[in-house]
Amino acid sequence: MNTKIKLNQRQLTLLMSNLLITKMTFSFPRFLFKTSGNGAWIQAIYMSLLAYIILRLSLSFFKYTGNKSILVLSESLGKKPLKIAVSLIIAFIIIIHITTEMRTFLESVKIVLLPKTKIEYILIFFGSTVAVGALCGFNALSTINALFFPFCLFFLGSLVLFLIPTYNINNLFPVFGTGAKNIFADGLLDMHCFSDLLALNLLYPYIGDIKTIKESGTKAVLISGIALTLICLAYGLTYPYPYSTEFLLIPYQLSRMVRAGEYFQRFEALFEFVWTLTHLLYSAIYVYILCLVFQSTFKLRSARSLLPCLVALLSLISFIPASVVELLDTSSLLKRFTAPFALFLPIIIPLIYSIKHRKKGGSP
Amino acid sequence: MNLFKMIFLVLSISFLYGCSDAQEPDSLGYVVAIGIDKAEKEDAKYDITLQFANPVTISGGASQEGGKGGKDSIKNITVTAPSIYSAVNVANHVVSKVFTLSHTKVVVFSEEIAKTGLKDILETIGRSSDIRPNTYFTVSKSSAKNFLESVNPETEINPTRYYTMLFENDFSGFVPQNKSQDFYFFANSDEKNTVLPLSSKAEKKGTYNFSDSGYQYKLEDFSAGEIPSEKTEIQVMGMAIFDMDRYIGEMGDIETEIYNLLTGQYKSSYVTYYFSPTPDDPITVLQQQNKKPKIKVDTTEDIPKISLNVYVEADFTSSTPEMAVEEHLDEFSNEASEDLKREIESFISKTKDMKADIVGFGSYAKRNFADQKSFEDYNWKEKYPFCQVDVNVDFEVRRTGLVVRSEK
Repeated sequence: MNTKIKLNQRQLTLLMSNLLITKMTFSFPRFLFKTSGNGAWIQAIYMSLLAYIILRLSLSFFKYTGNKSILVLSESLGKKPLKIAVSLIIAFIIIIHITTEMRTFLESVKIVLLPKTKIEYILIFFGSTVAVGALCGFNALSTINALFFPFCLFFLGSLVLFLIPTYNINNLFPVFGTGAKNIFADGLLDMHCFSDLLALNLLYPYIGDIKTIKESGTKAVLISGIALTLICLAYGLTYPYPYSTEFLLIPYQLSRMVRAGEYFQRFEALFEFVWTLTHLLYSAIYVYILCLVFQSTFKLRSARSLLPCLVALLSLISFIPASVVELLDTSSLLKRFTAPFALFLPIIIPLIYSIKHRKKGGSP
Repeated sequence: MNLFKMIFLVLSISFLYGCSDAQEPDSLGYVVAIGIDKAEKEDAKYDITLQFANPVTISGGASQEGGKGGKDSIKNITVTAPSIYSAVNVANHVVSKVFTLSHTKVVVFSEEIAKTGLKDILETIGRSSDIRPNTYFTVSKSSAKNFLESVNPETEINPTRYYTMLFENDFSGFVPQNKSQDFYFFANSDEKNTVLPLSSKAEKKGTYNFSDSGYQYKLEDFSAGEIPSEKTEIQVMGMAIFDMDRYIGEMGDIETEIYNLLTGQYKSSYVTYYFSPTPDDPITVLQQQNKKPKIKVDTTEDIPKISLNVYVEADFTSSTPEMAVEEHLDEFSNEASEDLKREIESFISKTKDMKADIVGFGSYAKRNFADQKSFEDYNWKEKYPFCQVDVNVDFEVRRTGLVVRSEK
């Protein structure tokens, strides 16, 4: 399963951008506006800078670790028990992310697109598409993602441009929204939106070229940071505080505001297409990465047969919260709890490994 | 694997032949306007009128003549219900259509409902994915049902287009350009008050009592329903002023035009100005606002100071035959800008009396504060009635039409 993975720089950049942007732009901005009010765009820039620093720190250990993922490094450091512990933490983080995104997506589809269809019915189609997508393999997924994801970015860019007539600069004031403390201190709790950077580390062993990893990671953080900031700016300029904290699906709300002439107003139809596409790719990619984690941990020859069961299991887990309100509360809590692990494991484990390596007298 | 593929293919074909949410267009009833009145029956909440398009008339049906506008293109149904969607539910059982609000263009509130507050209706509109954010809201001085029943879109085949042309066109200076989204955002705001267009069934009650000088010389400050007209149809002009979600007063068409000028939403309209050398002949200009007003609010002291610069351009469309106004452009511009300044000052003074910052000076005041809390502590709405406003009008005549009466 793993030996066949081959990603070029463009594919890896767009794949990481998808993992970061899908969650960041569709459901996450609401949390930013809740924390910082209409100062959310400042928080978005601040968090992107922090994410960049975290990424550069995690990449700085390459000279000692090579392209070994934290799973491989943890095995070198603490044998099997540590590897299993680390892989369980990673699996938990990934499961939290997929299941909450999956459920949020399904519930939103039910609200916006298919109000009369049973959610179980939507789930079956979504789950089977994700399973089939993951079964097609990582190369197919990354190629399709590289083909379609630029369209999604183009859509987000067009949305920001089409909304220019609705912008009101006064909505961005007071400039620090709910306060500088909220942006710069409480905003740290929202760093979980960059938890997906962990996926880059897990893909290290399958990308031979270290330069590709470094450049793709940096570009992905840059693209996602710009996308998040632009969406927050567009939303903040269009929706005044405190109403900006109310809406569930921010790009959907924004696409409803587009009026390009009298006859081009239903921009949300395009949004729904882009939104479905990115979520299908996002979920399929993550399911595959989860399989890679299990395969690497338990030294399985192939984890392909795990895929359908895993998708079924994830679908069931995603339905644990009873309502959308419970889903938002629990997901926010769990993501905040797991974010330090997702962001700092790729720094701490290589750091310990590097210290140990240097103590043993190893050269970079 | 082939078996798996076969099963997958068969299942896909079986289940994906159509979406379970699909609806045939001819099974839907497209609601174009909603009217909300206080219920006649005691204890009931609203009498809700749903005005829906009659597609057979609009499309022309089987005839070769094409579609027709007028009263036949729309139909009304009134039901008593506690909310918009429960009214839709009842109506679905009365008319053989499934009503959808996705093409709703106008929501009409009766004056009585607007006075009691629109909070619960706004709640429905905010949550609904059907009702679009650019739907128009209006307060009707006659009952909402009466208003909708008087609608006769003779000039348009498509009733939604009829409403669009009424509420929003480049020459509709007498109607505030405030859509449902703006009302929803600012109905509970600390920074500004909000307004809605006024509408009414024409009552033929108006009389011409206009001022002898000034802006819109020899034109009365009419409100909806007051223009003396032979046609007993509808009129949309003037605006209803709100304190939070409650209607507290109204302003006429000329004041509404000033409101549009100050909020920068004004595009163009024909305006008559008094010119002292020819007092009997008003000068009519095509007035345009090509630059938004510049507003600065100083909140360093307890009494806010507002500096307001309004930029207006004008082209002569009719002048006086008595004299060549082109020879006295500076004089005319100065008089016109003074007239406009007086009108703006009187408008602002009226808003201060009503304790309603409808222009949204509070939104500019926010710029002086670092965070939301410090702005809330300043208590803008309490301070607005005491603010000092310095108005400057930059009025420029650019063109004189196809005639230039000048010695040079």
